[in-house]
Amino acid sequence: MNEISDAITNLEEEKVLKLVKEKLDAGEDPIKILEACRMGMTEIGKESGDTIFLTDLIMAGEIFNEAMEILMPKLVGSATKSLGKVVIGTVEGDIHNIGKDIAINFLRAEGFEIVDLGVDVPAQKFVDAIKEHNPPVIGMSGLLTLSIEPMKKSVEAIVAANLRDKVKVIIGGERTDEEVCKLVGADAWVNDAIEGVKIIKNWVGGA
Amino acid sequence: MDNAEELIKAKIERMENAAAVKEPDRVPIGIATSYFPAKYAGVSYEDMWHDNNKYIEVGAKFCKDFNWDAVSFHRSFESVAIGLALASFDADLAILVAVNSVLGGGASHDILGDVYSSNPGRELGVNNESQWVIDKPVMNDDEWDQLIERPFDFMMESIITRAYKNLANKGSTTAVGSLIKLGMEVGKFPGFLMEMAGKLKEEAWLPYYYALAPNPLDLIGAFYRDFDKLSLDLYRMPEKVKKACEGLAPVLAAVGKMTGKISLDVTGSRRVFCPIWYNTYLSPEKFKEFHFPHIKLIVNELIEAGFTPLMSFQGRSDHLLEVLKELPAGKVIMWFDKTDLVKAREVLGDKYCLAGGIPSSLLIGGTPESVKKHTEKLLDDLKSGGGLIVSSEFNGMGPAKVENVKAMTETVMNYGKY
Repeated sequence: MNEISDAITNLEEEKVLKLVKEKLDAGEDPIKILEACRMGMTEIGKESGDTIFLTDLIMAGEIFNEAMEILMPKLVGSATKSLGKVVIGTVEGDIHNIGKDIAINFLRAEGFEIVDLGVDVPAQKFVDAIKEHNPPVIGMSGLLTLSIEPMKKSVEAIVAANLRDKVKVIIGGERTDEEVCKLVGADAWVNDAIEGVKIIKNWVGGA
Repeated sequence: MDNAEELIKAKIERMENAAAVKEPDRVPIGIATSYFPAKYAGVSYEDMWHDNNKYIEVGAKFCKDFNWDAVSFHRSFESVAIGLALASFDADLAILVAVNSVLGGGASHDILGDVYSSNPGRELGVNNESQWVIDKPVMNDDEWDQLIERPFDFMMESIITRAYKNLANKGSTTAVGSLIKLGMEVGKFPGFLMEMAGKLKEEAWLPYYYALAPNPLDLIGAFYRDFDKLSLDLYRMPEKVKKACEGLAPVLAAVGKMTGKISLDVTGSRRVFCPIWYNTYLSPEKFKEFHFPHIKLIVNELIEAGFTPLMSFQGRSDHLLEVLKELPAGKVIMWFDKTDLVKAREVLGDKYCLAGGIPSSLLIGGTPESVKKHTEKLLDDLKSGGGLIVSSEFNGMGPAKVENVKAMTETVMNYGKY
């Protein structure tokens, strides 16, 4: 199984897919294969922004999702571990999805259940999603400076609905920083999706 | 302004001295912002984007009231793909078509129905900033060979028909009618450019940039494949990506020189905007392998032709600073978004002109006092010896507070003197 983890960490697409198929054909437990894939992603996630870059993360997510496609039919009905739910979306007025999707891939690999609200998400939709899913963490993504105001409005809507003490809010995107975090009223900010995954894991005690 | 011509002359000299890492009389301010001037003038983003008279009006008011050394108010890039596809047919026409959206506003988006942009007052609210997102790539992953072997025919036959919904059915009434309409827009364009430059120059306007040289990898990522798909291509078909970039680089260098000449003739600015988007995505190894060689080729050709590449490193570039040392000293402006300029100066030494230093988040969320303090520190840290242009992230300061922008401007005008 280490072979699969290593191949994911090394971004060897063909090798990963070949190994996953071989192990399944050989009758290996699909949950163990899934765990090996996750372990590979976790190893990547341990690296810092100085050593791992967006193209690597996009490729890792692609390989993981391709492996999942092979594994999913065999996993139906199996109990896999869950670290809890994370609701995530790109805020109103912003239609960029790459940062959000990288975060989703790595959160899924860690064992989080993801409620993906998509892009251009109005404040009320975050509030409704908290009521419906009761997640410990809300992630708001946005690439542009124009996302700052909608992030603020979304947090304000969560406060107005008396739900702020039920969730931690993390904002992510190229233009976020400490100043923006304070302005928005979030609990944490990141420029880097992997850093975000680490923070969320810390919050829910999964680290 | 009565003394506009003299002011422009002084601004040109100030910007050129800063670029050459010589001390000018004062540290210049050079910023690109499409939206702040509209907000400041009380004009909606929709009107600024689609009404050329209002576009000129907000630009002129901004120049008059803020008097920055260099400022650009470009709009979008939707027509660049069709312009480039025309390059082998008629180079002058290609340039006019390509820059039609950059300065000419939303008309080409409305006419062509491109898949790239969502614009204020159209797909977005009246005061939303235009956004560039491709839902699905307009070039498929099995089409690299065509881009390599017959680039312009491939662009015209395949890319254009997918990138512009109104050109999807070749020979249809919609396609022919849309092309005629685009032609009419392009016909009006040189007159508009002269009018715009004339009116803005009355307010002592000098553009931060008025010329453009994209690089191949960013062009392919932004216009053809989308960056997430291109990221996978770098692993799956690296040699094809490199070959396609090699083919496009000289064409894009020619685009830079042609637009550079227009800029010099019309505005007096030698700067050519070289946007670099994909840098944030790439490891230093991949940057050196796929991105930098072509950027370097274009930059060197521009310098040889007497232009100053204004290299806009968007996003974060801390990890690439060592590589950038290969660029010719004193000949380029390195404009950074997120990269800390003090760190950049440490790594790059004092041979390069750096631009940046004012985060848009500070202009949006800060106070005049915090902006003044930050700007003074920036000047204290980096002013000495020249080679500094105070700037903010590429087109990032739209929602900034007016009093904060004023505080930054006044601080540079006073505290930035040599």
